[in-house]
Amino acid sequence: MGERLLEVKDLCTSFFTYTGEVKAVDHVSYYLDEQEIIAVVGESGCGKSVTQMSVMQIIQSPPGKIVGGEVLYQGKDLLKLSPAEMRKIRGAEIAMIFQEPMTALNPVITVGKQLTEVIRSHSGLSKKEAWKKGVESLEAVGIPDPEARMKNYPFEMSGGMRQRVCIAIAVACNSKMIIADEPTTALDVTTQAQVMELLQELVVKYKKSVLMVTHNLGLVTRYADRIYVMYAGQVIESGTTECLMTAPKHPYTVGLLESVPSLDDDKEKALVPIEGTPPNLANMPETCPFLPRCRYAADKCRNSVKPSLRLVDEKTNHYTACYLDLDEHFGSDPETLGQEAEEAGGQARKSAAGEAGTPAKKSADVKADEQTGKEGVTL
Amino acid sequence: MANDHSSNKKNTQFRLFMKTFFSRGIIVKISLVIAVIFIIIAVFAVPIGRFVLRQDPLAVDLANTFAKPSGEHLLGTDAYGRDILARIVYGAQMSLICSVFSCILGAAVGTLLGLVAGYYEGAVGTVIMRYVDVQMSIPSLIFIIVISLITGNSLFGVILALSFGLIPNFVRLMYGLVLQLKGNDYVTATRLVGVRQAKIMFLHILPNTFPSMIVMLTMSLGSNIMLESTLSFLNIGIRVPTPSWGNMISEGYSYILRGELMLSFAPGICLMLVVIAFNILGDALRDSLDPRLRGKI
Amino acid sequence: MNSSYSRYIIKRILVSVLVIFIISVFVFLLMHLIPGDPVRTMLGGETDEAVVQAYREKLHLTEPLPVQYWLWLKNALRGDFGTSYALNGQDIGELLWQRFPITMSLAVPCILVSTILGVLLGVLSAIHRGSVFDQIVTVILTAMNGVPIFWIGIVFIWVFGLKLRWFPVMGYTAPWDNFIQYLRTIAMPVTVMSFGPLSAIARQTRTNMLEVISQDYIRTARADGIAESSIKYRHALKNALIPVVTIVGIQFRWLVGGSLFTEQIFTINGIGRTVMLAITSRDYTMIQACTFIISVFVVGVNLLLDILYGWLDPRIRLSSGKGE
Repeated sequence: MGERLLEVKDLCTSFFTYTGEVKAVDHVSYYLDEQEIIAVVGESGCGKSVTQMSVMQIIQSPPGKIVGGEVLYQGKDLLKLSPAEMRKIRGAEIAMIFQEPMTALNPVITVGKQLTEVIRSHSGLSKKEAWKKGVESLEAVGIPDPEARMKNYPFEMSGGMRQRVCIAIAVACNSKMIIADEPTTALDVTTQAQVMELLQELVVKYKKSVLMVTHNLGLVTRYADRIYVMYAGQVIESGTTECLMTAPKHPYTVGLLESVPSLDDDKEKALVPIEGTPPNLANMPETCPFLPRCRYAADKCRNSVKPSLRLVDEKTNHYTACYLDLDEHFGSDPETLGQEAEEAGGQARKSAAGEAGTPAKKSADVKADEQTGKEGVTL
Repeated sequence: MANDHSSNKKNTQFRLFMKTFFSRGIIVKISLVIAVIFIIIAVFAVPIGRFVLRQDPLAVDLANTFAKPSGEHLLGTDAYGRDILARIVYGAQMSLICSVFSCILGAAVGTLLGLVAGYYEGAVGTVIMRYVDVQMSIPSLIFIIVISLITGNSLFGVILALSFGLIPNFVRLMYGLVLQLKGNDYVTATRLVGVRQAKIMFLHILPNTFPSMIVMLTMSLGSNIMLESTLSFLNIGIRVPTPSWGNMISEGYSYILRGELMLSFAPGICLMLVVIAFNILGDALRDSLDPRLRGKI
Repeated sequence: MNSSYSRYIIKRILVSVLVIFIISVFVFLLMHLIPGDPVRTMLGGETDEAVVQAYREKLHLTEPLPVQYWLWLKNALRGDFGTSYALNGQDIGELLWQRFPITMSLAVPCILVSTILGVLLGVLSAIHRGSVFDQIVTVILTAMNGVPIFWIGIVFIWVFGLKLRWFPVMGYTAPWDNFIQYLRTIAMPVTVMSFGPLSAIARQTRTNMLEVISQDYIRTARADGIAESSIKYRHALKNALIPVVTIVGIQFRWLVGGSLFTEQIFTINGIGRTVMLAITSRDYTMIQACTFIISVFVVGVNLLLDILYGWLDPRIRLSSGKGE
C-alpha cells in the first residue's frame, strides 16, 4: 500500500427535480491509497454510483449538480478544475468501467476506432502508434487475436469480451486509478471471476488502484482491502474487509450480510431479508435514515438526530454511524466471533479458489462467519 | 387510510402533470385558450350567428359585395355580399364536426385493428400490418382524395375519407404498444393464471395505452381540421355555398390579385391558429404524459 | 458483402414488390369502386350510348375483372397508361414522362434543404436543450408542421410576389434552360414545400439526439475523457443520424401531397398539377396512372433508403444473422 491517491471529503450531489431536491450523495467521505482495492457496497439507489459519477464529474446536468465537498486527487481538488483540465484527468488518470458492457460501447464505431480515439485524446500519438498501442492493450487484457478484434464492432463480441475492451481502454492510457461501477453484475459467473481476476492483476502488475462499486458481497470479501457501506446517500460504516465481515457494527451491514446466501453452510440457515425500503431521498427524516427498518432501534435512536460516523477501532479503521453497540445485541464476544471466522475462512477460501480457477488474492481477506453471515458467491 | 394515500398520490400525479404541461410557458396557455374558443364557437355556431352576429352566412347581398369591415359586417363581406365573420363561425362548426367524427371513427377502427394485430401476431397480424404498409406507401393526401372520390362529396363522405387516413397511424401506435406491453411480466402473469384473452386485451392492455392515445388524438384533431379544409380547398370536400374554411380560402384566393385580402386571409389565419394550437397542445400533452420526459425540461 | 445483409436487401425488395402489387390492385379497382359509371361520368350524361359503349370497349371495361386487371397491369408496366380524356387524348405515359422531371426539380432541392437544415436545427436544439434557442426553434417547428401548405403558399405569393416583388408569382423555367431563372422560380415553391419535411426531420433529429445523449456509451465516452465536441458531433450524431434516413423516406410520401398544392398555386406543370387536373375533371384513367406512378416512386425511394439504412448501421450490415 502506498501514497494516498484519492481523497473525497464531504461530497454532496443533488438532483433538482419537480418534486424537490433529491440528495443523492450526502456528505460522503472516503479515500483510496495506491495499489489498493476498495469496495463501495449498498442497495440500488443508495447513491453509490452517483458518488463515483460525481468524482468523475459526469453527472447529467441539469438536473444533477455537485453542491459541495472536495475531491482531492494526488492532493489537488478536481472540483476546482476547468472542464478542459478535468477532461484530461478522465480516462488518463482515472478510468471508469460501467455495469452494462452491452451498451457501454458505441454500437456504430469499431472497437479499434473507439480505443484509438481515447488513446489519442490523451497523448500526442499518431494514428498508427495509437493503433499499435490499442492492440497491445487488448492483448494485455487477454483478448485473443487483438489485431482482428480491433476491426470488430461491439455487437460482434460477447459481454465478457466487451468488458475486457472497456478495461483495455483504462489500461491503454496508463490511468493510475480505475473506478469499476458494478463491473460484473451483467456477466455470468465464470466471466465475473475472470474480469475480477483481470482487475486484480492490474493492481499487482501495473500498480493501479481500483475502486469497485457493487452489491455482490461475495466479490467484495474476496478482492477488496477495505469496504464502505452506503445507505440513503451516506456512508454508514467503513473499515477493513475483515473487520466489517466479522464484526459489523451497523444494523444495516448486519442485515446485508444476513441476506447473502452462502454455499459453505452445512447447516440449514434461513436467509434474512431486510424488511422495508430505503427512505425517499427527496424527503429525508431528521433521525437515522435506517430507523424504520432497524431491528435493534432503541429509544435513543428515535429521539436523536441522525448519527454521524464515529470511530470504533483505530487499528482496522472501523467507523460506524450508529448509536448502538451491536455486540450486546448479538450476545457474543467479538473475540470468539473472530476465531470462528478464521476457521470458516479456510473453507471458504478453498471453495472460492476452486471456482475462480486461480488462487484468491489474500487469504486473510477471505473471512466468513457462521453466525453473522456470509461469505459466498452470490449467484 | 390506504385510500387516503392513493388519492393523495393521484393528486400529486395530477399536479405534476399540470406543472409539466404548462412548463413550456405562455405558448401552451395561448394554445389552450385558442382551442377552447374554437370549440365553443364551433359548438354554439348557430346561436352565435343568429343572436350575436345577427347574420346569415348564406344570405347573398349583391348590392353589398366586398364591403369593408363595419359595425354591421365585422369582417366585411365576400364576393356575394355574404358576411365573412358569420361564414367563419359556421365554417368552424364544419371543421369541428368533420374532425371530431373522423377522429373517433378512425381511432376506433385503427385501435381495434392494432390491438388484434399486436395480440395475435400470426397470420391476422401480418395481413393487417401489410395493409398498413400499403396504405403508408400511397401518399396520404392522394389516398384521402381517392377515397373521397369513392365516398362522394357529402359531409359523411368527407368524414369517412378523413377517418381512413388516420387508420394506419392508430394501428401502428397500438401495435407497437401492445407488443411492448405484452412483454411485461404482469401480462404474462395474468395469462398464466388463465385470464381470457379478450379480457386481457381490454382490461389490462387497453388502459395502458390511453396516454399515447390522447396525444395521438389531439394531434389528429388538428391535422384533420387541416385536411378537411384541404379537401374543401380542392373542391372535393364541403361544397359551396356551405361555408368551410377551405372553400372560403379557395374562393377568396382569386381576389387576392385585386387586393381583396380579407376573403381568404381571415379564414386562413383562423385555420392556421387552430391547427398550430392543437399541435402545440399535442406536444405539451406528450411531454407531460410521458413519464420519461417528465422532470426534464 | 455479407450474406445477412444481402438477405436483408432481398427481403426489402420482396416486400416492396408485394406492396407495389397490392397498390396496383387497389388502383385498378378504384375505377370500379367509384359509384356510378365512370365512363358516363367522364363523358357526361348526354353522350350517345354507342360512343359510351365504344369507350368502354377501348378501356376493356367489357372484359371480366381479372382479364381487365391483367391487361391494365401489362400495359402499365410498359409505361402505357392509355390516353387522357381531360387533355384531349394525349398519351398519359408520355405526359408523365415529361412532367415527372419538373416535379423532381422541385422535390430534390426541397429534400436537400429540409434534410440539411432540419438536421442542423435538430442537433443544435438538442445540444442546447431547454435554452431560449431550443424553445423558439421548437415552437417554430411545431408551427411549421401545422400551417396548411396551400394557405402558406397564398401568403408567400402575396408577400414576396405581389408586395415585395422578389420572386415571380407563377411559371417555371427548367434548370437546363436557365439555371438562375430556375432558382428564382423555384425559390418560393421549394420554401413552401419544405415546411413539413423540415419540421419533421428537425423534430426527429432532436428526439434521436436527446435519446442518444442519454445512452451509456456517451457516458463511457465522457468518462474516457473524450473531447465534448467529438462526443456530440461524432459519437452522438452518428447514432442519431441513422434513423433520420427513414424519416427522409417518409417525407417523400408527404412531398407528393405538398406538390399538389405548390404546383397548383405557383402554376407549375408537374405531376402534382396533373393529378389536380385529373381530379377536378374526373379523368379516372389519369388518376389511376398518377396514383400508381407516384406510389411506385415512393416505394422505390423508400427501398433505396432502407438499403442505405442497412449499410449505415453495422448491426444490420455485419450481423452474423445468429442474433445475440
